[in-house]
Amino acid sequence: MTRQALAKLGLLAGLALSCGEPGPHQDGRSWECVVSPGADPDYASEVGCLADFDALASDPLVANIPGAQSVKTEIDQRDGDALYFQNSTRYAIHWDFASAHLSGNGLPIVPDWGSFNTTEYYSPDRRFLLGAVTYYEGPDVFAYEVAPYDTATADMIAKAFRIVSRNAYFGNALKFHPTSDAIERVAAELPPSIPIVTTDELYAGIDYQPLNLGESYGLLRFVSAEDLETDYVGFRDIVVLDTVPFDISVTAGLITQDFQTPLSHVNVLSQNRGTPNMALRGAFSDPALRGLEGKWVRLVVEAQQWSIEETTRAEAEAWWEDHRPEPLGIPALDLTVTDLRDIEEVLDVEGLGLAEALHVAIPAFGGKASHLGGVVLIGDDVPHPEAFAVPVYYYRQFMEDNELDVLVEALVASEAVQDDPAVRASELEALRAAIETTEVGDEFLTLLADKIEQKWPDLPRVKLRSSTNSEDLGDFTGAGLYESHAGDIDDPLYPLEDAVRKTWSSIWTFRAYEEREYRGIDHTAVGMAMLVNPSFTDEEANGVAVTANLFDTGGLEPGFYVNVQRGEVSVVQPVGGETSDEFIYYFYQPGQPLVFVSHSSLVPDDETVLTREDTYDLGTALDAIHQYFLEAYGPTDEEPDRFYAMDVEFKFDDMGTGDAPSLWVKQARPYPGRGD
Amino acid sequence: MTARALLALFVLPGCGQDDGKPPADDFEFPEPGDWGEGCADGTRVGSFEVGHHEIYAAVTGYVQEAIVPTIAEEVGAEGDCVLVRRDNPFCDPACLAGQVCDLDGTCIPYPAKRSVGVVHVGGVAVPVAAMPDASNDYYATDVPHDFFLPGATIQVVAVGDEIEGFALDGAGVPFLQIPGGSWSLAPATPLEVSWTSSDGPGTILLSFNVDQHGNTPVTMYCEVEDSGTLTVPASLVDQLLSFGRSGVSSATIARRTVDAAEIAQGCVELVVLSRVRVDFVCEGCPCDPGPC
Repeated sequence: MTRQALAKLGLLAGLALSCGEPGPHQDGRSWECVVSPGADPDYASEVGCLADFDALASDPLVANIPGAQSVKTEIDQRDGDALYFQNSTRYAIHWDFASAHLSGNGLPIVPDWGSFNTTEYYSPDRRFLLGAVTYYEGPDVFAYEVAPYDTATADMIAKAFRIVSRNAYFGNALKFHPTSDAIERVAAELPPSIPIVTTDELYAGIDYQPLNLGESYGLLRFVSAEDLETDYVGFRDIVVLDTVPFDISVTAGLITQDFQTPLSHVNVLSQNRGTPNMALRGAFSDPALRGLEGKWVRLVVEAQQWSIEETTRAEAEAWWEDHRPEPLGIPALDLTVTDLRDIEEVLDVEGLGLAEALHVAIPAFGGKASHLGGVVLIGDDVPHPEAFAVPVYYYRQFMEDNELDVLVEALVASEAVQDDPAVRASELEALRAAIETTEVGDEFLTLLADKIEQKWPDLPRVKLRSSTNSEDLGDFTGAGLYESHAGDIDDPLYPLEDAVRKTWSSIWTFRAYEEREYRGIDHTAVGMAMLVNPSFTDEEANGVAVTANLFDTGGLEPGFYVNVQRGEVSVVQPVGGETSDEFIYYFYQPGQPLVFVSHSSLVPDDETVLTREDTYDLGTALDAIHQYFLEAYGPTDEEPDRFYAMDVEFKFDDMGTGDAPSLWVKQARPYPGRGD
Repeated sequence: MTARALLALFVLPGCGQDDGKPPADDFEFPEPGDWGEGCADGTRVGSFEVGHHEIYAAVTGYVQEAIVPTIAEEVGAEGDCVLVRRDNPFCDPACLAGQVCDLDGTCIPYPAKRSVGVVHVGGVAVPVAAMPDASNDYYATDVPHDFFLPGATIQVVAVGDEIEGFALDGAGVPFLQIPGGSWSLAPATPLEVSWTSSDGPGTILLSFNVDQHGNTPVTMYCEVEDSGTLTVPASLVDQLLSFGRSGVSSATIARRTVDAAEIAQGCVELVVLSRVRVDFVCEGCPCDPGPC
């Protein structure tokens, strides 16, 4: 049935010829609203005013640019290029609308969903031109967009753009927004009459970036990141910061003036704590926020918007009482395991299954080593460094033999330590100093050195990586809390004993203690195993990735989130304000397009940190890791809606061979999600 | 039936009617053959469908100039059901607009649809002679809902044009009916489905999709005899769910006969079917129950 026929049959119910205030003029045309106030039509063939747009719009499926509303469009090339602005709340995807309204009755049949999606985004002789008009509130831009994986030609995009712009009151202001690297290449061929707006330009126009979603109450404070080392902030403070700090103690919420990355250290901390975290340009001088300085406030961070309002101390107290974090139990240490074990032998997956094997291994080898023990079993798709694990037994033996455990118990029991952060900091420092100056003992050091020499006779320098039983625990990753240190069995400048003691002592840093305290973890139950692998210091690229599209609010656009930087410059704690390549990788879509959120400041403008082939290798590994660990961390019968993704640390390195750098997966752990 | 390229005998140039449509009644169909099996995986260039849907009937079809490269791998199977995973070939550099990545990692033009001339459909209530539209799609959607009778011998004959002609056979299948309620997919639970059985002709094909905006890497297909019930084991349900459950879930069931013909470009398929899109809920899928 044609659009005209639909109209005759009254299926355009809810559309009126004249209503509401007139829209702007385009090409001399006077625009009027076409959707009756309060009506909820399935679609409209024109958008005559903002109220029309609002009536049809929904949140975009992928909210990587906040503050946006989107209306999906379909142009039926088999029906005289009829245009439909579809009700995007009722019909979240194009196929839903097309199959309901544009199938049969004189028009071609809309095929099943799978066939529709494999032709309508890819075939040059497709029936529909599918797209969306998105309004970005911050930069005040109406943008026409096609799906990041759509292989439409420039002619097709130009045709669709013109049809949409002719039928919308904002047509003169409409711009085309290339949503992926592939679409950017096509956009270069568009005629000059079609204005382009880039993702970078849209980002420049937005003020708000949600990082960890949620609600919190606290006292609003403004603190310079520089002053954080001396100006203590507490767990009942909501803190506005001038820049993104490397680290911050427990707070009720964070607002940074600079944008962050989802995997930045402070955001990982917010996820661990379950506290809201957002960025807001100009926050430090924002009059509305300044007006609430020193007052009790309620902060709400959502995917598209945020809010803050004054409240009372009593309301805050009541909220905290209702939302006190439950004490987090950690696996009891297994001190029966004493062998230094090759990483391939850490998990008994064959005998126990993955979930139970992890359950058994973590108490002896800690989270990091145990999860790498799973990674190495996946196969060729996931290259990994050679490694072995040192069980937690040796840490506990060292602490008990030298009565350091007595110091720990005294510290934890001390009221002064509990009550005074300054005392806590100094007592922890003293404990670390005691650990770092106590002899480890020849028996263990010989055992360790022999294992290193046996495994890597030509590579005497190793990295000792912390692997505790208080990390990788679902919503408490412990990421970045503990330390790794290099040791060398031949080089006196890197004594193996010092590396062991420094790694072990990092259990007792102030920040690690504070995080455990906030989550109610029993400090005395924590122990540290170690993951040992050869130390390479000249990696070509390093990064972190999540096996989910962090911006996919509807669960409809799966992909991987990747954050990668050239060389060894950290992506989670950049030291000089560097930006990294940050993108969504639509690995499962034909053509595997990338949607960049930011670009590395360390590579030229027209380059990326990873080659296309490197990225594909990474995607292949992420897919394999996601599938492998799903058995242990995926949805269950009891929690069928449980969010699941893995957080993967990787590098590209020639591993001293001089060959082209290739992928190495260093670590994988369950990712807690961003709070939604 | 085996493929049979048509002789020029069947081509009727210059026989158009006043409305531009070719005559449907006076086409002389060849002797019908047996319908058999569909195209082998990765060989299909064209597909025609003569179908009864819930509220309408239609003829649709197309033939492409080449096979669209896809990688389909069976990743699980139990009983009459299989899990098929679709992978995408990888090309470096990336393909341009209008291209598609081939299995050998090179970019090729996306195969265009081509005309196979007039397509005649016989054995149906109203004979159809379909011409390709501007994009070389074939469709006739103004046919009566009782378009064919159960057991009717149905023939589809393309006379040939840019691409050579072919002849395909099928049989009218009884209307498919689903008695009440929706189907539901849940972890660790066998999937029980039922429909009103028939004595044929035709077999039943079910498909279940719970992931990836319809571009799912993994779809479950079950092809079974027309007995009226199917139980998919919980283990296979769990395996399907383990590949992900994003997007809107969907399930279809069709009673059908299939046939295939080989032409120079590949395999062309005819499906005569009665299809129902099932009200389907997947526990834990983000859009179930919808909307998202």
